[in-house]
Amino acid sequence: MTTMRVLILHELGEAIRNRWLLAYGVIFAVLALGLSVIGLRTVGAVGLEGYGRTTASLLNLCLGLVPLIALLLGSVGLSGDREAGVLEMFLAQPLNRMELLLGRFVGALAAIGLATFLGFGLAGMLIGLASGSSGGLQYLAFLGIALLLAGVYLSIGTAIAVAARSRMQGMAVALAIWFASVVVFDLVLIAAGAMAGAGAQVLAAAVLLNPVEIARILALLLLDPSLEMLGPVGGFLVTRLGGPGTAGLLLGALTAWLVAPLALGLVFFESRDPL
Amino acid sequence: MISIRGVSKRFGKVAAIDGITTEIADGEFALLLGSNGAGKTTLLRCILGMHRFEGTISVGGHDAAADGRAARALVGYVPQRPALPSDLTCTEVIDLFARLRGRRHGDPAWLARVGLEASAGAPVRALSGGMRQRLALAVALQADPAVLLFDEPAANLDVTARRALHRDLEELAGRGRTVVLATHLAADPLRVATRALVLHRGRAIYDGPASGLGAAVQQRVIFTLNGVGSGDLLPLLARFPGVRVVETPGTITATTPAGDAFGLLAAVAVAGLRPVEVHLEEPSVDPQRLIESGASLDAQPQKEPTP
Repeated sequence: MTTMRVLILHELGEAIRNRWLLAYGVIFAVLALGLSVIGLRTVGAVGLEGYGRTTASLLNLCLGLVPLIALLLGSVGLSGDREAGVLEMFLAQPLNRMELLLGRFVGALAAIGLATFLGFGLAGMLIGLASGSSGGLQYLAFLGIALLLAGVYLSIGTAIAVAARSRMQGMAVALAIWFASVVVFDLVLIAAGAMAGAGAQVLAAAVLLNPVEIARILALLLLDPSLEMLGPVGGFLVTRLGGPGTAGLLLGALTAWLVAPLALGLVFFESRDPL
Repeated sequence: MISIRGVSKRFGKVAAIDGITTEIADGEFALLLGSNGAGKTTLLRCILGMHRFEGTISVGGHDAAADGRAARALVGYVPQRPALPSDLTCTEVIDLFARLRGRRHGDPAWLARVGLEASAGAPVRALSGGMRQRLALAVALQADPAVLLFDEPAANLDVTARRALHRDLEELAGRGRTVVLATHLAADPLRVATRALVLHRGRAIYDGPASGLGAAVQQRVIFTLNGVGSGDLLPLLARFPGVRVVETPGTITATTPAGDAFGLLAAVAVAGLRPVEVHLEEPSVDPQRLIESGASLDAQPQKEPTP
């Protein structure tokens, strides 16, 4: 068994043992089912709403919750192990630091992926049984975007954990980044558009700085590619690049966001004293 | 087996270790002695490639910095405060670290060897400090490494367990393993070790046979007084050659060569003096005595490292 595989399975096992994976899975399932039920109640019907509407309702919740979970998991993992002394035991083994960091990253991502697919998957199965399979592919693609977003914020969290001096500092920075991504960024963008008169081109470039916004436009493009739904930035991109071109750009940007912080974390981990 | 040449490590402006050069041969039982903060842990972590450092270290011919993975494959390590994944059971811990060294699974016999067979299914978080130390020992030993590094392994152990540990280390060295034991205590290990490297404020002040430390191995005897009789105790202690006496309110501390402590106590008893409490600390190397004795490296012509 390769060292990486041992580390990935160890990380996954720890997640299952700690029961946080189960808790997130349950939260995701309850949210998806709850939104499906509430969606139908609001139009006076009883049962489960179809995939399309449920996915749209889930979008905002998912864009807030998934980055938070991934950031916290990434930022406390390594810094917590450093504080507890477990990291020293791992560093004394015949493995290199890249294997250690990547193994932990992939293991944690697998754990989040498992929780996401178990939670949303279970809810999706029930919705499919109750309302038919229309929109099922969109729902699956939405899960894929959620997982990619989780990977991005886990990568940012991992970089924070490498640089942070303590677990608390790591958590504080992670929460600040989450707040900036989910709350502050939108407000800044609106202010820039309204007050400074920033054009759609500038706003589109700015959107690429925030993975949450990238994922939001990508998901909307998937659900309802009409220009009104996509908003000014999404509309601008689709007009300039077309639907597939915009999807490619946004997927590329998310992938870059996944790779860059992790690579930066690796460089830090390799070049600094890790203890 | 371990070659250390001109190794220095700074944390900011503080030099944790400064220009250390030594060679530890195959099968040697070497003590790394020094008080807290002397640089023992830093040196061990440099050997393991956990710290970046100036100079070169090689283990079994593998450069600890450039080829750390191969160097660490030869090394088993027991840190001062071993921390293992707290939710894993002892058996799972043994398995995990065996797999990280390319084995299919751990050998549960090692749990029995360190007296943890009854706790094989217990999670690490339920173990006492001493039990965790023994589990870390099993993790280090199960790989049967050529080199074993121990950082204050006796810190969490009672006297009996400590003696047993030192016997185990002696036995390991007897089987050809290279053992490096970092400790600030020098009682038991000095009897079994073949070599000693003494660090003081990050610098090596002695590098030679463990038996050569002589009177630099000191023991502190602390007398707690009830206010009566201190006047008699001070002149009595001062009569002993080589004893340094320091008086603080309520206590008198006598520092004596390790072997002389009981003679001192006997004289106090014979004189009819009855302190409220007598505390005998474990022997440790006194850097100042070592420097004064002329046995330190500072007092000797420096040896040039062989290329």
